[in-house]
Amino acid sequence: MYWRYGKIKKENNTEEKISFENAFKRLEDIANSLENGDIELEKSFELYEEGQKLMKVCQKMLDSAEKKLKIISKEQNNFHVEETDIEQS
Amino acid sequence: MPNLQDIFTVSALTRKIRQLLDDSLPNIWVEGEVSNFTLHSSGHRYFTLKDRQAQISCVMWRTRRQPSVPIAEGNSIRVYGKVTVWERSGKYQLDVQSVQPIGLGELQAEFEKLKNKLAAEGIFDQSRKISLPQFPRAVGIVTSPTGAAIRDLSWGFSTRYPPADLYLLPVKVQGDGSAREIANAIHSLNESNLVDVIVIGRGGGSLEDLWAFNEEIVIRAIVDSKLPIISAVGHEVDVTLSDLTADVRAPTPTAVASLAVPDKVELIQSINSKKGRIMRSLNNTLSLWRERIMAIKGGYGFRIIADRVNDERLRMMEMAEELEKSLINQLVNKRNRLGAISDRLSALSPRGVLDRGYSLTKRLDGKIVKDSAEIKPGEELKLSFSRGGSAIYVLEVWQDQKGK
Repeated sequence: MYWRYGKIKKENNTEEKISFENAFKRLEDIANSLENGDIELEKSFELYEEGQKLMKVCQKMLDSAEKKLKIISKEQNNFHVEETDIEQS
Repeated sequence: MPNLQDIFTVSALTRKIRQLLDDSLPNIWVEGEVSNFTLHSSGHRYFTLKDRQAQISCVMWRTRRQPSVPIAEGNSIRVYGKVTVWERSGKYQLDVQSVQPIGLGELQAEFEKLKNKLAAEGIFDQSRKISLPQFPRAVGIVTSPTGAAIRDLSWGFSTRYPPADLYLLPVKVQGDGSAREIANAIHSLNESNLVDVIVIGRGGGSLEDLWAFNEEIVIRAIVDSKLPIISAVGHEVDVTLSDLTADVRAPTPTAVASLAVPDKVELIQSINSKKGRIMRSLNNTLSLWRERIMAIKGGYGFRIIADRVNDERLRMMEMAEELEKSLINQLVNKRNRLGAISDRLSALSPRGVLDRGYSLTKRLDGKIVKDSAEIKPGEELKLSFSRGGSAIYVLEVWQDQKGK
């Protein structure tokens, strides 16, 4: 797959790929939970930390400077993709 | 020899020619092929329209409306104008007022016909249109690989919303085979599973140039597309059937990005706002817990409990004391009673009786004497005192007096 994913580190030190949409929406969920719910203190800290990670990941995905245009050519039934730089227009 | 009155001057003749032409040829449409085109520095356009057998000079003054098609060498065009005679030069020319490509009328008729047919099928209905994804993960662009359109589009997307990947499936956007290429590109992107949304489009041009986006094969491909399609064909004034069929129409290439993807500036603001909410919530939660703990430690309720614990402790101590006291009392009582009983017992025991001065009298057969009737004078008896004893003989015997 060619989706653009951000990477988020989990407790067991593996990296999980997350889409911008999911990271952004999860961040909103966390803000809501902390505002509305009667959350235990420890859970509040966990949510806060998760929120920190998500913010970093979102920022990183929005900052991507090197942006490529992928040019598709189709040979028979195969898709072939070639990358090229995007210039200021 | 000619008659002197019938001889024309050159001016008179030229004037006559002009008059004849003016009267018999009003504004007319003329078709021909362009050659010798010049755009003069004055802004006037000079060219020749010709066909296989003849040619005519043309001029289009700069004050005329801009020609909608390029008047270029070899182009077949249709012009509307008037034949005029330039007396000075003895030439006649076509004073062109407007220019059309050949077959424009036919194209327009075809456009209307197809448009009506598709409208009747409900192809343009709002209800048919799919909504765009809020956060596309990838965008597929169908356009010419050269030209301003792809540059504007890719720059627009990459600056507005970097997380979305950009794909270009290059096609011919006009000329033979272009409609088929565009339709195939739409199919391919649907099959590829690479993108979430498709953009089709091209830069500005004449009705002929944009014609591919009016062809039925492209319209059908847009209808069949499972992915939503944004159409950005030509300028805002050019509305093609693709524009009407697509799920969203962008009036210009720069408008495409703002329709297709969110703005990273707004997203960053939104993220910051969420960050603020999270921080405030956490602070509130911490404050709340701190207060609760303080309340417990120094609070009224806590004090009551502490007091109560103290009270209970005091009470327990008191009770213990009382219990001790009562136990001791009980013991003392018991001991006293025991003592009393013991004394009584002692007093009641034979030894006690003897200690009080009584003696025990027994007959020789061992029987204790209680009644004087049991003994006779002269009988031997045994006496026991508190200490020691004796043997005695009875001297005399008597009974108790009444009342003793």
